[in-house]
Amino acid sequence: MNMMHLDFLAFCRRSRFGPSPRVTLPMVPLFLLAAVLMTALPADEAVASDVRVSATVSSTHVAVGQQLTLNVEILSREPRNVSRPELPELDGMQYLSSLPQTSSRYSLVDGIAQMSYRYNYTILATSEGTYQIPSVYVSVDGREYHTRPITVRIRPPGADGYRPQARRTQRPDMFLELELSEERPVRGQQIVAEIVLYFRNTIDVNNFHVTQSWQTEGFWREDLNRSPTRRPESIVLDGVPYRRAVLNRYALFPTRTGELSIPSFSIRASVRQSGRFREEHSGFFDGFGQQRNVDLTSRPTTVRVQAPPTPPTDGQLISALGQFRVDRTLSQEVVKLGESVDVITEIRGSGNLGLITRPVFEYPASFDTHRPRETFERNERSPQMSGSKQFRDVLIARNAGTFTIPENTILVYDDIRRRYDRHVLPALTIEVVRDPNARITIARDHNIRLTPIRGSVKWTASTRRDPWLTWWFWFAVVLPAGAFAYGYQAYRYQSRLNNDVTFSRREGALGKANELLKATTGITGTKEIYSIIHNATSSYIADRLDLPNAGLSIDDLATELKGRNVRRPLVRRVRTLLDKCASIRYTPDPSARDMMADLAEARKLISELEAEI
Amino acid sequence: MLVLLAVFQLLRLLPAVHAPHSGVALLLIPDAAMAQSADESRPQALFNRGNYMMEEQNYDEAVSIFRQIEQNGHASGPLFYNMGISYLYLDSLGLASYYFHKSKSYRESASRAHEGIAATERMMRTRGTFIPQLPWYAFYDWFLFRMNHLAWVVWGLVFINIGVLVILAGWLWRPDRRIAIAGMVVTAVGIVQIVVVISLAVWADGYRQGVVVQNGIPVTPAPDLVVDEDLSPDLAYEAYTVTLDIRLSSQHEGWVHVRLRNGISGWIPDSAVRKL
Repeated sequence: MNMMHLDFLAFCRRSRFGPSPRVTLPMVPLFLLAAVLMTALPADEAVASDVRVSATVSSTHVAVGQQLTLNVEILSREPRNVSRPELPELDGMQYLSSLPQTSSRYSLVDGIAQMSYRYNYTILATSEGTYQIPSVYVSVDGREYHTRPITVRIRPPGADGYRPQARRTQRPDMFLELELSEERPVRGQQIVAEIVLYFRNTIDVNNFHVTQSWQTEGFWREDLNRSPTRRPESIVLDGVPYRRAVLNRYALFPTRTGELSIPSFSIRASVRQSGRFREEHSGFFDGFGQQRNVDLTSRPTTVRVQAPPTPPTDGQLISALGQFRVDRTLSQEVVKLGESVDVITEIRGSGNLGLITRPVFEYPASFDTHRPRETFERNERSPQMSGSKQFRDVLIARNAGTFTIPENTILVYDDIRRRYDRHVLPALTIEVVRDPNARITIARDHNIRLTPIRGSVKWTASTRRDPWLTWWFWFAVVLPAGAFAYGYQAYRYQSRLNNDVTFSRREGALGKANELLKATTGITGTKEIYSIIHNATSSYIADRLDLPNAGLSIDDLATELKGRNVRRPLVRRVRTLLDKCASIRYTPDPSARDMMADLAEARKLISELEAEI
Repeated sequence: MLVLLAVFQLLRLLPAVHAPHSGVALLLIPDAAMAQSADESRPQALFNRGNYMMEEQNYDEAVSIFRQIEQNGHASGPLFYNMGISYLYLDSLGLASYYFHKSKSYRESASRAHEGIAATERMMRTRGTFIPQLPWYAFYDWFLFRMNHLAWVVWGLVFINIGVLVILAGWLWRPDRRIAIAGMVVTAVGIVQIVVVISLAVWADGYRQGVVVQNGIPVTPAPDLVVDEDLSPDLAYEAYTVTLDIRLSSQHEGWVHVRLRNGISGWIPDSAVRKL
């Protein structure tokens, strides 16, 4: 079961919504219990900042003659010496009794202890108008605290307000109403919508749950159900006594203008007839004392939303509608160079806090601005949307000196007075100083440890020469190409020498002839030398012309030489030398001088033939 | 021998081999003993003055002096590294990152530059502007910027030279077909490597790395396009390293086409980026 509003149900179970006596918890045992528990807990420094004092009312919209409850609550983390609140003078209202209904409670939530003291006063609305319940002063451990003022609107009796009693002549014993704090709002204005259950004193309500989701199209909705328990109050409708209990409370913010519909709200309540009861609307009761489930639905409502008036031009709009106080402060007024300083803009009060946009300020050029932070703290115990919104602009100074953030004006539309309020934010002065003790090492935030490089460094030209333009690069490219080409040629030559006999004879002819002629140096016999000269010359010619090495006459050789277009004188000289070599064996030994000349002639002939064949 | 000499000379041209000074050597050389030639002493004197300004926490003045050195056409890793620190103090993350990246190319400041870049990224994380690089784009950027094309070409040349030597040995010195084939394989590897690397270098020549030096720049789908902030456009924050498409950017004056580390691409004003 979708149970809602546990505080309310807890109260229902305790009081059964009937005319039971008011519950007042004994103070002394609770104090003792709290004291025992606190000694068992770790010691916590109870500082004054732990104390929170707040005041709430059961309803901010009542009619003349109706009652409302003023609840003053003191919260702290440990038991304290709390004095009874000093009640302020009231306009348009009066206290029914100066003696409060008191209670105290100790709770331990998520390991956090909390002590709560409550003082409830019943107030009667006496005259029509908008009034303020001033701050209530409370002394806690000798220190004085006060609450915020609360605005209450009081309608004339019998006026056509949001209460249903004026319109109804005959009411059922139990019905559900949707009550709005404002029926002609402006766009963005807060409307507190209360789901109120009216029932006769003879009915006990055990529990209830919502049977249909509540869609509020055209409104931005905030749940206010965490506000303190609303006790049912006794009221009289057209002479008939009723009990009135607020089941749920929402803050609605219209997001557009025009007529906007708020649909009905449906619940199923488990009820019991506790006394004599007979009415025409009691069809859901079969008899005396039986429990039944009852479906209840509120009537749909229409509100006419107007556009806010044209704002003045001498201020900055931040979409704020409500009662707000705007302050701007610095996290610190003197900062060291490079450190951050926060410009904190706080908007505190009640209204459309969630829709307020960040104010934009102009900062000196010497500051770097960083992503702003935004926090929103809502007062959960308030019966309306209230709290504070904080914008933190993070600035970091780049230069030392004194800088001023100029004055600014923020416009806030006050939905009670129906006018724009100007909130002037005074100019702020920041002094940026150099840290005389700082080392030249960044070790501030972010765990940065960077040390500059000092001493001698090597300098290069900032424009570098393109490596493709250096001769070394091309040398490295050309060298292997050249080596490869040479090697390839050598490889082919060697391969031909090995594989081509004709080429091999031709290429080796000169060397072979020279080798033969060189061998003559160790020979003394003249005829033998002439024989070698003959062999060297003829074999050279045969090798060069690819002729057989044996069986060729001098004429054959001369003919072959002529066939290769060798000059005739050279051929004649070859023939002469070969003839001399052939005929020397039949003649006396020639002189050594002739022999040396012929040897030289042979070398010369071979050399000349090398160029011809 | 000639091959080795050529390789040595080419290696000297590689950007990572600029200054053979070690940190120890820097400490041992006193400042006063740096009176060398007039051309060298002037940037060194200015550098020392800039360092003094840093110690005085006058980072504006320090940056001014360092920039003067840079404008005079001198460059060094320590200069860019110290500029990065100065800009970090001045809370200009974009310029800090830019100079840290520049000092990364110098051996004597490479490791410190990486620390500076890491510090910049930590500060970006604190501000919530850091974006991680997608693995695919990290791989892509490696070919574009981190791969040392010249070194790969030099190694290709070394392979070719060695291969040719082996071929010649197989042909002439000790004729063996297998040796010659081995040399041909090594040569072919070198040639293929050079062809591939030169192709990559030509492709990479169309891109450059840059650092965003302005904050919250909208990345627009087309140049000269004003994007309404209500449409929540992708924003480039300072210190982002971006990949610039040079060929595409040359078609639109005053605008550059960038790709962020997370793959988002678009156009931002030319003035918002410093090219590395």
